[in-house]
Amino acid sequence: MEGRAWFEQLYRAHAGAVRTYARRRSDAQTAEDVVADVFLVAWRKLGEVPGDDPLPWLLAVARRTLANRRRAGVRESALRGRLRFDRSAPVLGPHAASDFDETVLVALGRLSEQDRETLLLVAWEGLTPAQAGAVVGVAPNTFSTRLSRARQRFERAFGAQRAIRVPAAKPTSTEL
Amino acid sequence: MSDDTIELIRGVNPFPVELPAPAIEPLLARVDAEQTTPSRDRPRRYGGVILGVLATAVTVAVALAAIVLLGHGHSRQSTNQHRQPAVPAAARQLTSILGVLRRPQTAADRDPALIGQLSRGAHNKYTLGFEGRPVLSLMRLATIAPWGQRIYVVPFLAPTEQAKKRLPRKDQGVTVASTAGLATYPVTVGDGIPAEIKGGRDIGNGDYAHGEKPGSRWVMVVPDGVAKVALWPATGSVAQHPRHPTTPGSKPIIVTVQNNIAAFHAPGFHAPGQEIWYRSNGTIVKRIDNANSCGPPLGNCA
Repeated sequence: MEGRAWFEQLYRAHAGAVRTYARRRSDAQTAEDVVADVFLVAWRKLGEVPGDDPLPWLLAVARRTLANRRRAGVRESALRGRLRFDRSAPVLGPHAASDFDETVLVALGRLSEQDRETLLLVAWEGLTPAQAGAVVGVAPNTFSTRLSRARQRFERAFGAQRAIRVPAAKPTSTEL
Repeated sequence: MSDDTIELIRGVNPFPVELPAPAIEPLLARVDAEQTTPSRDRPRRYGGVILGVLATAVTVAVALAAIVLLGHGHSRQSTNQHRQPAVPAAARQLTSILGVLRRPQTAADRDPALIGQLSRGAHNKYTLGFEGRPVLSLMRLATIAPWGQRIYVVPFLAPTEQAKKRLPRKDQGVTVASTAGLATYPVTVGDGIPAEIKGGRDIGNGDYAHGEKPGSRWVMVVPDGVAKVALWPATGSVAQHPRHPTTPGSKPIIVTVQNNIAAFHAPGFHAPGQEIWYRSNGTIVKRIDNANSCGPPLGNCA
């Protein structure tokens, strides 16, 4: 079955990248679940997966899947009356970091989700503006504009955070 | 500091090296399960064993009655239609005249190479601006041509105003179809808009592969109800006779239609002069005089 063979090829080529993308933003189990969910969607919509560069399409699905899981998690927490949300805390993966790295992470955590994802798609996933634009559903030019603004806001947040951290005040870190 | 910023953020990447892919087998098991699982599983509620048996008996009786009343074919068709994705409104003019687009899509219809080709086009501003967007849910393997090639049909939605504006300025004035059209692969035919199909003008020989002379492999799209097509080749100089007069007494090419496609191999055939369309019972559906393909050998005929 040709579609099945192509699907298996797609999985072998990109499942690692999808897993890494999800793992950078969630725990190990969630990342594996996201990989399965993403490729099930790909199987159901095989005709929509771009043949030449499928990774942005797959990452776009992974991004939506993670967002849905996060929303479901927030709803569940809210129902249990245990919701805690700290804007200063980065929604990032595990990272035992130096003070400097932690400053970078906290500065990232202070950005809006859109700004943070814009930066991470380029810095962590190594995507071009065209690929990253496809992941978030905007044109390459729009993404480049967003990237430029996100950089500026990150630099401001990073500068402010460094100024705060000069007296070696350790920020609280709460994982969502 | 802009590139430094990206470097700074790259430096805190918690997983700088790509992780290995999880094993594929559990996923394939889920894929297989999806293929064999019925589309709607009714949850069973048992008040007790007797109630369960009674419920099953009633269900079986109702199902048997339905089969007897409606017949196998009808019930199967209804189920398949229910599973098919909705047809875009713009493509309904095509689905209403082409039965090949109304039947359920199967795995054989979804050629991965063609899907890849169409997907690449879906990101190309020229394809989007000139041809529009393909409707992959309506992609069908229509027939296998006499020369062994699989012939696929894919409707395209007309280019949007936004897509046309993305074309280079010099191309923005080019007239493109304003309605959905049917593309054929790998043999390119005409515009594929309903008016062309109904007028017997959606015929072409756009496949120049395999060292064949241009013009030897022809594909024509015809609407529902046409079982056979007779074509009389146009003769004489195309330049002198833009409406392609047919030589009286010349022999027609007779082609059987399969899934709205008439595919035939005719070396030396340049354009149809006259066409007669026949129903399956032999009666005439339509007679077309001065048919004008405006295909590749002819250029753009007015």
